[in-house]
Amino acid sequence: MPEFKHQIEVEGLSTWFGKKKILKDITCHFKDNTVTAIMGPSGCGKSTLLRTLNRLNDLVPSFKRMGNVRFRGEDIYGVGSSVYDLRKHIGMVFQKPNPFPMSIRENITYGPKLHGTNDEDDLEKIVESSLRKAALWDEVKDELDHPAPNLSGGQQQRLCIARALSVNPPVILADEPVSALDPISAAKIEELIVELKKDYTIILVTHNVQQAFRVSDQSAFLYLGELVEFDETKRILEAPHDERTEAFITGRIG
Amino acid sequence: MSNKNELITADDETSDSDFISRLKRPFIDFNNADRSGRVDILGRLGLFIPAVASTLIIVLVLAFLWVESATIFGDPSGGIGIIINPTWDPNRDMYGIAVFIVGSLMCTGLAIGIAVPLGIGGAIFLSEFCPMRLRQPIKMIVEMMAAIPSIVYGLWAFLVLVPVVKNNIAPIFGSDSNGLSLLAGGIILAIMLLPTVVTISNDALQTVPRSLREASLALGATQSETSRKIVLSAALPGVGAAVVLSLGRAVGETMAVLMVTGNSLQIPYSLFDPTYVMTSIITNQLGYAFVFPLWRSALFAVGLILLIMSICFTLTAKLFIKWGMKTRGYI
Repeated sequence: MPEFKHQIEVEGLSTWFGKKKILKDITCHFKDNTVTAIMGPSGCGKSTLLRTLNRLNDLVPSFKRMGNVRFRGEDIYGVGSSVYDLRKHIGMVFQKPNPFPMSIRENITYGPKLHGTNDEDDLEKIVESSLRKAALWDEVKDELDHPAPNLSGGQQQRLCIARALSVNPPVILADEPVSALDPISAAKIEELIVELKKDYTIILVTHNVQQAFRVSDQSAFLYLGELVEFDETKRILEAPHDERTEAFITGRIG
Repeated sequence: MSNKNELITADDETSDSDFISRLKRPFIDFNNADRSGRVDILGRLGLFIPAVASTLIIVLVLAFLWVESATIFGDPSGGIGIIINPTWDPNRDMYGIAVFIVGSLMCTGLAIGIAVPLGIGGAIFLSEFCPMRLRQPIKMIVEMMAAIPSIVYGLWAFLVLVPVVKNNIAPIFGSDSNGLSLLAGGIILAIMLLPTVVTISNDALQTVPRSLREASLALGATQSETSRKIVLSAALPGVGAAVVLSLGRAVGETMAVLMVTGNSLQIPYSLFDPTYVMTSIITNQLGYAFVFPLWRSALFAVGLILLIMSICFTLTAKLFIKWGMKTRGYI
């Protein structure tokens, strides 16, 4: 395996949907075991960047890309790299909670079963540990066989986090994971994200500056597809180098 | 406004859980549903009549069939035993209808067995794997298949399918069938069911939100795993509805089946034996039977059993769909 400094490195990445250029020559390295926030106004390419990291954009027929994304030193778009392996190692949590319409247990065991874990005891352990990590175990341990869509929105989102953790990925991508939730559920999930960075590298898309401040260590500020600033969150928020960043932080653009 | 609320709560209190008031409940609710204007009464009446009519029709049809078939069920040579009696010989006043029941069940089972897997496969292809540009044309052609009259399917089956069964399929299995067989009936029925299964299943599959597919893919599932384990599973209640509809059509289909199954009064022991289904016997013999009360009544009994079978299928399937919706958290 080639040497690598960080789990995920992006170099000179540009992407297009059809003729429209979304990301413009982005280079950044996401530090391990930290939370990196990707901030920016709507339509600046935050989600596109995130979805390029686990190749979810491949599903869009008009998607085109230049530049490199490396996971553990290997080009994820390179010939012979398996997108399924990649996605097993890079979990994702979506904007809206999207539990599968099956039981809570089946939601968690889906991923491990895909990747060849079929032993009942092992699956049982995975269910418990994933739900515990997502701070949901105590709430649902007695109703693991109930349908997941009957949970509340906040619980559903934590279940989705547990589902992502079930295949034990070193990296977790989160695409505005709390924007569809009420403030209390949102706060719980923010807490959870901070908790999880001990064991995982987390990349969080958000359009909420306060949230970036509360949970992230580094921040990337994207504006119209350009990476304007990438540094420690504290530094960016206290003394932005670029006036566009300042305008966003102070709420003049957003 | 407050007056209206009081009225409704007053009604609520009087509704005990006893049977009569539970029967009356819908009517009280209906009465309270919209008190805003006198003009609406006319409109509500206008909607109430079709609603009652459509529910009454099934009761009336059942009652009519019951009255007509009462003769045979009450006669010493008939009775309820005709359901399990396989001898149908009107000349000797023997009206066993077991042959037709078995024929219908086997034909329907065969057709469903062919059409459902094929149709669901087609629907999955259309909704998950088909290139965007091809989807609409294919859907349109499949929908057009549903518009072909069943007699035309029958003609085609008689001239093409039956010889194929006779010359190409039966010899493989060492049968000297003349082609008019259970198999031919099952296949043509399956072809007729396909458009229903494909279009309705496809609609059900397409209503599965994209976010579920993405969640599955993001866990490292292949597209095939995603469509089988997530999309199909999530759409199962809708796919079940497709099966219900096609079941109803399969048991009730007459013309095409009549033309290719050989209409022989025997219980088929192989796929290549001819068979006689319930709809065919009614169509074939009603003309002669009309002046013989027992014979005629026996045919109506076949119709009654057919309707009851069809209702049972539908109810079972509905229960299955409801169970599916429950375990998926849709209701």
